[in-house]
Amino acid sequence: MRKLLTFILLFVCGRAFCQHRLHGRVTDLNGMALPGTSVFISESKHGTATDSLGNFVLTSPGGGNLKLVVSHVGYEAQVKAISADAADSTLLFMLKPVSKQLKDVIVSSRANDDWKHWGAAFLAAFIGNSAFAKNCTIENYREIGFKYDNDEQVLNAYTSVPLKIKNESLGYLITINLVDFVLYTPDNDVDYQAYYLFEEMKGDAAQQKLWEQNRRKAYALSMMHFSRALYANKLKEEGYEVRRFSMKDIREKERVTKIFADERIKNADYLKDKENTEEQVTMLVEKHYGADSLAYYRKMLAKQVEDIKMSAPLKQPDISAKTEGNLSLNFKDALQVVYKKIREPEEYYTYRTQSLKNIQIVSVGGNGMNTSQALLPPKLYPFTEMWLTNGTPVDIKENGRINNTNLYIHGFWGWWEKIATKLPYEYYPD
Amino acid sequence: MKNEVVPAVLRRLRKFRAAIIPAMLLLCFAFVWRVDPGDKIATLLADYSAKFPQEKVHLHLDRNYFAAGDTLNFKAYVVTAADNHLSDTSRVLYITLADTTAGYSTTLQYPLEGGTVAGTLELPDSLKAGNYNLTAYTGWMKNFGEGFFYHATISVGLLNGTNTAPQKKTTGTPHIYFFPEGGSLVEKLTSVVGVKAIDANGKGIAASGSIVDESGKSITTFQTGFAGMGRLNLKPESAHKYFALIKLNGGAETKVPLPAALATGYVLAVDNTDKQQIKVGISYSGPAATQPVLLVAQANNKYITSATATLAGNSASVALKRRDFPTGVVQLTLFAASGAPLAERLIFVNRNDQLKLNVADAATNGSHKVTLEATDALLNPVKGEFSVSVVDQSRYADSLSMPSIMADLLLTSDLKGTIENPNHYFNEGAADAAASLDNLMLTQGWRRFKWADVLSRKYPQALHSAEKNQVISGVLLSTKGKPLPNGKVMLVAKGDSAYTITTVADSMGRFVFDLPVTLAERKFSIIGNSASGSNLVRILPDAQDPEYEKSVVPGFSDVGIANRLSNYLTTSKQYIKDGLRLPPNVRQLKVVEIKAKQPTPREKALEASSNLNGPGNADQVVDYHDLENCNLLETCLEGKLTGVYFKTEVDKNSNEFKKIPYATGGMGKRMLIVLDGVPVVPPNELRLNNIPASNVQTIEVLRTGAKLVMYGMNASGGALIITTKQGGIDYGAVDRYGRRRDPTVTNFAVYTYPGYHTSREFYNPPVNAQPPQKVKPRETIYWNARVKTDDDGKASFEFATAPGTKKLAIIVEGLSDEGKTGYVYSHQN
Repeated sequence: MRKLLTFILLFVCGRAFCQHRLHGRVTDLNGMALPGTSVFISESKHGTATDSLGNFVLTSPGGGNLKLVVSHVGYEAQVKAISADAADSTLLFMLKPVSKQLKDVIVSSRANDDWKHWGAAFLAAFIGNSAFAKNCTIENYREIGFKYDNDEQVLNAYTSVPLKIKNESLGYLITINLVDFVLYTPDNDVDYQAYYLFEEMKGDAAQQKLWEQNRRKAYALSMMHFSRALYANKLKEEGYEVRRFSMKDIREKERVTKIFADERIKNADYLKDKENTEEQVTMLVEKHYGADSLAYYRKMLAKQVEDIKMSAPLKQPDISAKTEGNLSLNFKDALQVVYKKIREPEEYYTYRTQSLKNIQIVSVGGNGMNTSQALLPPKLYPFTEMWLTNGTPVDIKENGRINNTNLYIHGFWGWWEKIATKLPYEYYPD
Repeated sequence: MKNEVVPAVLRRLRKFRAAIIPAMLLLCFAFVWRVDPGDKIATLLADYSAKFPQEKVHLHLDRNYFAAGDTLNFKAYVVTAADNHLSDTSRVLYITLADTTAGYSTTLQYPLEGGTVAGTLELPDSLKAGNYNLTAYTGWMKNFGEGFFYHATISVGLLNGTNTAPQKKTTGTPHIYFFPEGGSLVEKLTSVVGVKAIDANGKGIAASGSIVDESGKSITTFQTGFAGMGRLNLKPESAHKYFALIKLNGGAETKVPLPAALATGYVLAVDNTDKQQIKVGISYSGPAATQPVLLVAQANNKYITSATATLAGNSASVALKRRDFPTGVVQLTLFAASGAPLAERLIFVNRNDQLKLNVADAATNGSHKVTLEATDALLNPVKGEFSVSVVDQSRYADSLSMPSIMADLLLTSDLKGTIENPNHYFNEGAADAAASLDNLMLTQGWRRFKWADVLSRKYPQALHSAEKNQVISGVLLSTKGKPLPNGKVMLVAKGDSAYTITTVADSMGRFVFDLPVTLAERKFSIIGNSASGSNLVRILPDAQDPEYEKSVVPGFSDVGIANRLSNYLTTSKQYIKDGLRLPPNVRQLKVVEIKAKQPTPREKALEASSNLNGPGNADQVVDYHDLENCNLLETCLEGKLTGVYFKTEVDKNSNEFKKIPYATGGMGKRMLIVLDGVPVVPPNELRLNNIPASNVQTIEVLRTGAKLVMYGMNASGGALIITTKQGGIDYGAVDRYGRRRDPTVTNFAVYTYPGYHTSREFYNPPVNAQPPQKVKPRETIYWNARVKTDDDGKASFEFATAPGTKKLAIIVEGLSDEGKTGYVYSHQN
């Protein structure tokens, strides 16, 4: 026996890539087993279903910050955060049936054909407008119910069954438990909570090759790529430039711009047949706010983005603290992250410049200039601004998983990070 | 913890042993772990690599088969090994073309700018047919040995002569070698053993055989595959010996002993197939192992990671994260707690992170517009520097076998010996590529440094500094040939814009002059004195050709090349016979060989003479051989010159006695002295003793009428035509009869510095020009050494092909700004 031991090699793995086996049981509120319940680790390819006795065994990919999702049609899904030592205990879940209220919303929404009205807005916010979104479809979109609050200008979406999404750009079938979806229509701000299980689509060699290519492209621009690079302290090597800046000046410029815009809107009738609208607006501002204020406003308006004090490119230790298996992202003010390896995608450029053009066409309205080509700005490297919503640090794991409830994302990733570009956390380009 | 009762005697013994062993280890390595051994090793290795940053060279050649008289085009990429970024360390590249069988060797210099240079190497008409070694290196690389130079073999044939290339060696026995994984076989432990079988030419061959013990009992069998490599598993037992029984090349069965197994030791077993991690099994056999061991991984002299393993049941395993490693050769070393290396294994980590090059050729009527697109592993566009060569694959080219920049910089530059067909290991289509590569790591492993040296800070001596500019270097020696420290050395540049540089030799007598301007060939004098001011010294400038072990590659060892080369030569000859026009830049070969008589040393010395009657046309000639032991010219020449007598006079200025030469028929008039073509006429006066005798090349005596006419009235008393040493002659090398002998003692050396080689421009004909019908097709259809991709990762180039071009192959190689290599071989089917 001892002899055998000398050459049987047991591969122990470090904490970082240990695979845990999770086991447990799923029942309804009466303790009756729920066979066929889907059990998976959110945002991964690790999923299984309970057996006839409601039991399950699941290998988890490890890496921390995991969420185990238990979902059964007709029941409310349950989510449990999984820690590294969860493997030792049996996990028990009791599922509650879906409320009648929720069912009713969906039934009435379908009857009203709400999809026709809200589908486009939902898709833009959920699937995205990237090139990959064109081949990404929700197979059971009829299961989505909508509710729009006119006063708050808020769109809510509901489902009682997991959404089945087929991403033919990246070759994934994604099952999504949508817990919460809120779209604030005036700002196009979206806030949703969902759990994802990825499955590889089957395809021939050519399709596989295309999918792999697209996955690489999606990965390059993804926030997961950034958080992994940050974790590995390879920001520069991976093409990121991270700088800190203060939001104050930007906010102030926004406020002043708004004062001028409001003045313009309020006095639209008066300005209609005036020649020098710009000058007229300025005069109106002076009239209403005084000469001193005007001088200050002008100074603020003259501020260029370049004037905003940006720090030198930062490194991992400047903005985070690393402990065993965890990186705590913590910074003051705001961060600007630029990916300098590829220019922004065409679709994002169009989206970004569309809003810019609107502003500029307004500001040159009086000059009789109506060609937008002259104002087309150059394509930029995709950049994102982010800040900690209430100053709480954000945890990042080695696989790039972000506990992102405290991180506000504005800019490129706000537009890009949607279902059509989403990759499971097992994905690595090599 | 187990309590044990130890007898007092044993306890004392243990104490004794404990005291002695660390002391011994300290002697060996002067190094013991303190807090974190991994950190310690990382620091020491970082210190070593900061002092000795490694450089690597890759040459992209336009092709690898030539006729004597052809021009080879190349683009050199010199990178720092740590990150493959183009190097700014060295600014001078050396390329040596050598064939030891013909005794031919030439070294040329090229100026590096930002780590690259595009140039040409003209193969002389006089080359003999055969295979030649092409070597490229920087001055800095000379410190680390020829093993890390760039190597390529090119084949050269003759258009006007018989191609009697040395035949492939058929005699001599093939060999088989065994390489246990981790370094040694250890009793009672199963090891993987790499096998490499080669023929007499060093080429891998297929072999199969079995392993038997001393009693003839068969243990296992094996066979070799790609490049003669294979592997087997063996668990040696104590008191047994093992042999391989093999039949090589169908010959008789031979019995080869395997390396003997150690009674105590460690074995490494590496599994390099997993995508996430590199698994390293460590097993031990011997008296109880108590200390933990340390596994350290380094790549390109850069510490990557380490792991401490405690041996449980005499074995342990470590998993290393693949993502921590760069693409390339990785060295895994197992250390004892004392710091002694125990076992070692090289692996190749492929992160698939090199460039992807896409070539799209839009061709109409023989005019091609090619778009090159370079992307990184994430398909982001990449800015980079590339070179392009286009050949007709159906004709002769064997460009596919030329090592790519990928194979060169990532693999072969870190291995020793000739690597057969290295591109195979990067061929994504080859199923056995990864397995063969791991066999290669087992059998052709090679290290850039010895761990023991690095850990004890025993660093190599860097004789050659990184050359920021061209240098002339050498050594100052005593008359007995010993290095003279701290002597003064002066460099005198001759010709236009003359200048001098002085320096002091170092403690080893070595001196280096940094040349201030970029130069082509130029002559220099080097004058040296010992530290005490004595001129009894010898100056030995460094040879341009490095002395390195020259590996002979006889014959056209690769049949493919041989056939294609002969095909190339025959068609080329046919074109010449038909009197067809050769395309531009292909020069007509000389048909007549002019056989000049070899000049005698004296004739050679006289070549520089300014004698108006013609060099050597004098009544008497004295050359530097006659003045070898001469110190003062006046004394030496007196009695040596026929028909010349010396009168002693008092020098008006110094009141010293001086000797003035007069010719016997000169009617009492002084002889005219002509120094290097300049007659010294009154009021100027030159005393013979003022000309250093060691600086004289020839003295011609003119006494008789006809020979003096050319010098007019000033020479009515006769003339001495004195020519000083001009260089171009190795003054000490031969005696007056042309026999070689030891260099003489002289503090003066004339040195011809070869300077940078002037490269020719490759002629790419304009695309719209209609190619003439009956032109010999160009071997290299297109060559462009400077293709840069833009922000979008794109570049384009155009070329034209002659009718009859069948199978176009476009080869693009290069490097991104971030040090990722790119290679594509794109051909029509």
